[in-house]
Amino acid sequence: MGTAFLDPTALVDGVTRLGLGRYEDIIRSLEECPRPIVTDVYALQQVVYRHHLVGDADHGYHLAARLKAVVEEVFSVTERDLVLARWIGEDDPRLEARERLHLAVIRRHSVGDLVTGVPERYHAPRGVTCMSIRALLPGSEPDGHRGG
Amino acid sequence: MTQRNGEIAAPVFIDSSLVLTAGARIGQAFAPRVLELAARSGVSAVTDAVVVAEVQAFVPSPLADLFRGIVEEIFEVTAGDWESARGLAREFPGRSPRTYLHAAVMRRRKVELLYAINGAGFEGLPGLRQLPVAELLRRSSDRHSDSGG
Repeated sequence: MGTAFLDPTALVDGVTRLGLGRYEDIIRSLEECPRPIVTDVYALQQVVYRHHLVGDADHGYHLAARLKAVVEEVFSVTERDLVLARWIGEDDPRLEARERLHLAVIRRHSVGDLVTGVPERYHAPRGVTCMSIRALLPGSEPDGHRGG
Repeated sequence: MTQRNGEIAAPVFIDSSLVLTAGARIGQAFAPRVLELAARSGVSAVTDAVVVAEVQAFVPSPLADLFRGIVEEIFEVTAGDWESARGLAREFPGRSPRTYLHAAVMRRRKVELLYAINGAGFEGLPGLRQLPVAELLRRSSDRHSDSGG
């Protein structure tokens, strides 16, 4: 099994839309995942910021640090990613800015799989298989959506 | 501060609050004006990749291009920076997570000076000195006086 990139909306949607429990529960489940998981520094920041908005940045930092401990690597965000993100946005304007940036990081590191909450959110990007966080949790079946 | 023909020789970090916050707080015309002044002021402008990502996400392309055009170097943002930011958040609570992250990058790259909007949260963080945006106006007019004769 190849490396999978974790988009932080996997956690948000996991909690709010997919009923997978709390953030802590999902992160704990990821600890048991046999696949190598990676993410980027912008994703950690998104986890913190989401909690900052509801006045609990401390908890956001705690959760992001736990996530950081679970993943194999946290990729940097670089100028090259910004350029790639712009190209990706020109290719598919439906993607939100943060989605473009994560895709740029994924492509720069040649990661083939992206784990998010709702795979359709990414509109089947070229060369990347998008899957629900459910697919990474114990006892689940793969449900990837590969782009053209 | 090192001076070079009246210019700031040390690099100056440009925060996205100059365009993101300023537009909402001061007026939409302020952001391009202050960026143009920064470009003409002779500072060596730097920023980080997450700042540019914020700008690309939230401001229209012409202004985002202007922002990108004035910076000489865009620093990468690393997992180590995020850890440093977390430490700053513990030590100096009450600011936005974005402030800690950019401050961490500045500290790693040994950049002490920055342009940001008052209230962006950089005030009082150790090793950083926020230059007043009014300084841009003054320095720009000084340069024009010097060169224009």
